[in-house]
Amino acid sequence: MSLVIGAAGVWTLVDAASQYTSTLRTFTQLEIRYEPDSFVWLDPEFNRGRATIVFTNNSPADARIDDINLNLLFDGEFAGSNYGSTESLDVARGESQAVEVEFQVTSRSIQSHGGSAVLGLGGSVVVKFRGIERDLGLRVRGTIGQVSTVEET
Amino acid sequence: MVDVSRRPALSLPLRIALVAAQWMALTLALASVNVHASGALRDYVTPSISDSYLVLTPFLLAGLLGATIGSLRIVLALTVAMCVVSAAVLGGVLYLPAWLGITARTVGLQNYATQHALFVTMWTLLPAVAGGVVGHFLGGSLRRAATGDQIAGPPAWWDRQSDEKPHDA
Repeated sequence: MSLVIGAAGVWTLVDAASQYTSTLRTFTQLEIRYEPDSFVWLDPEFNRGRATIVFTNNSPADARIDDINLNLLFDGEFAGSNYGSTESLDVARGESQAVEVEFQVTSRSIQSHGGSAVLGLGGSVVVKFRGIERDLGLRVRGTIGQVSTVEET
Repeated sequence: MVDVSRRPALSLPLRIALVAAQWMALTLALASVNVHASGALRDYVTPSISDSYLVLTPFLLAGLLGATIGSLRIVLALTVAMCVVSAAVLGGVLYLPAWLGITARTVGLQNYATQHALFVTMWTLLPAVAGGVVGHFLGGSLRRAATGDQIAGPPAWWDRQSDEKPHDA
């Protein structure tokens, strides 16, 4: 009886380890990056800006990007955020999708430095993978650089 | 004169081998329960089972082990070893993605896996020891029958010998 119990235990143990590693392997194959040179200011007062974020899904499962919450940083200091204005994004396996994220600068004390500060990105996104119950919360960090370009309207 | 015979006793190496095989099987079974009941893996592994199995299962498995071993000290030693090794397997599963190169090998992850293994060891130790002791005392007749120390009654005709002596109980 012990050997039967042990055999069942080994089988379920291997299955559990396989599920765990498979899920983590899926989680680690989603890439998030800032599209270089995509950031532009939308007004000369540095009140609003827009950047392109690219999601690349190299995992074996389709993904849905929810809750894109990104902050805009001036020299590492919080300047503003997209304030959840970005809609959900579906990224099929093996594909890439780009989304334009618009930022609203709310820190009036440093707003005027928008053209001279080193801009950066921070925040988090929530990713749901098809076939995986657990959602993936990813922290996002990136450097945009110094941008003084204002989009012509 | 009553002819009695004894069932052939198991040799010591064979008994050790059987106990070792049983211990390994039960330890791996307990490790599987640890993995499926662990809060750290609850969102990753299905089926996920209740924490109560971390108490019930070591009690039953150690009881099964204790029922087949004649020495209480060996039962306790093997029970403790079973808890430690099965918890170590849980730690190994938690760290497995790092070994496979899926995630980075960080001190944080090492500490995380170690802490979970220690927690499960402490959680399962007491019920396992209790189960081992209970199983040991309840399994006395089972052990005697298995090791041939019990008089089996009149022998079959092919085992009878004219000069066979009664067994000293």
